[in-house]
Amino acid sequence: MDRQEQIEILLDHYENPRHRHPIDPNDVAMPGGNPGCGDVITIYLNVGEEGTTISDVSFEGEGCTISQAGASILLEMIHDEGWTIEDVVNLDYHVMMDILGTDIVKTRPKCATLALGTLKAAIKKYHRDRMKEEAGLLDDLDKVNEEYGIVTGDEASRSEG
Amino acid sequence: MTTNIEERGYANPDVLVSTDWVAQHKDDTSIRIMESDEDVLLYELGHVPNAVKVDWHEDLQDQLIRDFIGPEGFASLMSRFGVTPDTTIVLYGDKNNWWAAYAYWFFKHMGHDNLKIMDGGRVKWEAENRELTRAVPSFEQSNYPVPTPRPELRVFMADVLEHIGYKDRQKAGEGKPLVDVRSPGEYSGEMTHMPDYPQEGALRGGHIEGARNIPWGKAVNEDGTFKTADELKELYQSQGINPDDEIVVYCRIGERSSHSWFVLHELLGYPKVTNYDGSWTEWGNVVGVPIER
Repeated sequence: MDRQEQIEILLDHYENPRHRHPIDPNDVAMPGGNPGCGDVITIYLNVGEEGTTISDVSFEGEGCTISQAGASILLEMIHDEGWTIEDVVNLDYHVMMDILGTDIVKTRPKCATLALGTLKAAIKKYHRDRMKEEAGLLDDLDKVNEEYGIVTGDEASRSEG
Repeated sequence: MTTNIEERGYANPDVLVSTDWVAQHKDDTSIRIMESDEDVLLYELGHVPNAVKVDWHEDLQDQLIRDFIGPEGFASLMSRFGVTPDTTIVLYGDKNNWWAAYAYWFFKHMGHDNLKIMDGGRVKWEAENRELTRAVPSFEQSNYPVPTPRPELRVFMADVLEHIGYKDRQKAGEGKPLVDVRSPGEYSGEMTHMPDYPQEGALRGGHIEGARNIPWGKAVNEDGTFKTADELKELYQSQGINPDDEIVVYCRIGERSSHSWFVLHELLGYPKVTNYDGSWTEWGNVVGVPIER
């Protein structure tokens, strides 16, 4: 594929992003990037019951062409090729840049890998939450929150207004 | 509401043109419209009709040493765009014209005089729903003569040391005005790089001794257009920066300071303003130079 074709793919994903919507309910909603510079992204992740497959993943975000096209391309690959959690964890940031076209994105490595880095962070949070759940920590947390009248998650959204 | 450019009291109002002006002149082959962006694919997404792309990284920088392309490279670039020394070049871009100002300063340093910036940049053009195209124009190759650069617009680290009163790395006298145009967090040393630019950081945070912090963004209105001359003079003079001073501006790699250089040297007509493009990515990494926090 030549440079121009690669650019056309990036522009197409920027203008027609795939899997760009929230997922509710989700196992993890992970924000990434830095709002101060304009590139922001939120990854929504649902993991299969066995904990190794991705049952659904999507994103929302705003920012430069590369950060947003990069998110769309990554999520399309995950959906179309049926990536597992392990596939994402093992994906090297340099490979992500190769997928987008290293020649085009070489001056913006952070933008090119924003979605991947955020998705990896979402998976890390998923694993951490499961570990806490197995250790009974989440139950304790819910009890303490209830005691103090703190409402979190979906309950909090419903209580707005 | 933003006033007309000619009503803002600039010393050199001709260096700025409105989006209206560009829309009226976009088909004029005696001018060359150039887009220079931070977002590397923004031009490809759509640009002002007949605009060419100037990639600050690939077109203006020497890839083997940290420096700009030389006079031969500049002549070759201009020839590629069919530009002659008489061609009027109109620059615009994203990020409040940071890279447009960077190209403007560099082109002027290379001796090209007929330069203008589109007030408000790409954001204003888009906000006004003006035409954008993906058609890349081609112009007949010209034969731009190899220019003689103007050294008086650019300073290097050694010049800045002397400017702040150092000789042989020892304090030897009073410093002259220096403007750090970065964000307060970068100036104070709290941050060693801009948000999202970790590859352009420095080993030490802080600012050059004696520098005043006047962030570049204070020179523009919400819509990205430049403030009036009175507002700009007040901004700088309230920080002790006066018209006849020898002033050095710097930032991180020289693009935001090009924007402030444009304000001081071009819009306000302060005659002795130079840009230290080595900026904090050089100063903050060099052994043995003084830093303040």
